[in-house]
Amino acid sequence: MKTYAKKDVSRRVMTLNMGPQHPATHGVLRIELELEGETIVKATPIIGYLHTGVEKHSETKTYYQNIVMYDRLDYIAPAMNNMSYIGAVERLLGIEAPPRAKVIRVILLELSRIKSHLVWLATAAHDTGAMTVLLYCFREREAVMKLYESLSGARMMQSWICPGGLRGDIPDGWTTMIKAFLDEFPARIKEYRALLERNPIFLKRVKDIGYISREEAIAYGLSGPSARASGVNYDLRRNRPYEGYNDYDFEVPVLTDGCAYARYRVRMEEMIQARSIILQALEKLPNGPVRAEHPVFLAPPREGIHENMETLIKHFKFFTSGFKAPAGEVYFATETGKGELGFYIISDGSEKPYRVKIRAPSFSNLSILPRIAPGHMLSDIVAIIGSLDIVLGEIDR
Amino acid sequence: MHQILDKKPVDILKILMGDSILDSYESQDNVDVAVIDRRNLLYAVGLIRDNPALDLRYLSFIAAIDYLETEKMFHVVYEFVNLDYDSRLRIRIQIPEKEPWVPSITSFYPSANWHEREMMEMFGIEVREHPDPRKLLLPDWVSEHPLRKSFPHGGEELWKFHQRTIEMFNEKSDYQGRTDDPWLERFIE
Repeated sequence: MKTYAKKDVSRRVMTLNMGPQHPATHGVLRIELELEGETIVKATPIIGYLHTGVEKHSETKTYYQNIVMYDRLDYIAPAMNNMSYIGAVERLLGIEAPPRAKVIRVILLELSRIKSHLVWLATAAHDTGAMTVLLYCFREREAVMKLYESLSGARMMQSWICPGGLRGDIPDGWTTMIKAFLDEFPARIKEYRALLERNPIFLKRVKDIGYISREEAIAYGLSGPSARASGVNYDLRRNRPYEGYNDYDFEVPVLTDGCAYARYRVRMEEMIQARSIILQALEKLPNGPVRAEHPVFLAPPREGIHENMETLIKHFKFFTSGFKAPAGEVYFATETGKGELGFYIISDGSEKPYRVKIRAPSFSNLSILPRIAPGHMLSDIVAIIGSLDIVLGEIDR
Repeated sequence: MHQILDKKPVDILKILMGDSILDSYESQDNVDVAVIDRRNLLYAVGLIRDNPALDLRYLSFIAAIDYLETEKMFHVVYEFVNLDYDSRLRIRIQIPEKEPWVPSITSFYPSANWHEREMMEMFGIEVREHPDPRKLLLPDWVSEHPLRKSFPHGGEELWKFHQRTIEMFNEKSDYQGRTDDPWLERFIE
């Protein structure tokens, strides 16, 4: 008969697999936890369950065909992914969008930021025991999706941003719809705050949890709200302005607390700033075309394809075989809801990119987890992952 | 542009390293790229991070590029950022096909850890003295390097790869032999 050891059982290190099906891991993330009692000794994130080889596929498709694939990276806010890739392609080709398109792009990006932060708030609050906020946030997210739907017909993967501008102009009454949404938005944020900031359970679970110092945040490559909550005063919209962000008056919230609650406060403030940017954009929305014209690099207009044979051939050839892009290398990054999303494109002068490296913000943001998790309790890891705001689609790529 | 010395990071690196910089050029997005030998990489990275005139403490990304068909080379690109002044510098190193290794810079930049692991599995470039050289995105039993240009991206060859992978999985997976699991043995004496 086997006998069990009479050693001090409580000192033993237990290995526990969290995920990949765990709801608090926001996708298919597995974390190998080594526990001593309920305290985490070691946390090893294991990723790759969603690896689809996006970078490999990019090398086999033309520059235009790639656009729709990148919608699926960060599926919470697809317009941001479009912007990063298309900004890189535009800099490679040397084309620029007209002013009206740039302003509408800013509206789309900031709506995406609101949407991304709403999903984060809903899930992070749900993970830490505040169930009601999920339903409230998804109500507002639905309103943003309706705005996208009335613009393009697609609720999520609209790919409305394209090289040289936008796929089409905004429909009539769209600005009124946005204004109606933004008018009621501050009251909604007040509701979330009332539900969370006076909730002792939520506060106890996020305050002083997952502390990241400024040096650690920089060394581990954190970006976005997670870095700004640790005192890193860096925002690509302000430091490397794109799409005319330098013409808008907005603040970049920076806190030095570095805990999960600080990351919560930074994102709440960013939603208010995003609202203010959209209101400014709506005010200055100029008239004019939404698409630049270029004989080689930009898609020919759709209008003539039913009447003119030449236009039809040109259109068909453009989308099937593409164009020869100039050789070179370009890196372009934008500030998404998660952080610095960049595309590093190497072109060898052919129709397809030679190499596309996607610098995903969640990839670097998650890599700090083995550093900050040890010493916390098992239930805190849920709050830490929630506060880092990761999306596995862009981590695994 | 660095505000203290009023010089670009690549010019400061040129002063510090002299002839060790083989080449430098400006990319399409106006970032300076310095080409150095991989034997000087750790020295250069030490300067880039710790020299107060450079102080580029943020590693944005590491990307490897396969030029085996044309140049018989891999290129590895590192991008460093100074977040206070927003100055950027890109380092490019060239690796011959026959000796595909680079030194690990994880001891300088902890964020390089995962980027280097990804580079190892995707391109088959050995990263020397890496603290944790496991696979990152791929399963352990995959021995091919998918982001090399020689790896198929469709057709019959990719199908063969899938079949090979499934066979390898059946051979190497440990789901059958649970009796010699070291984790279970801890509880029985």
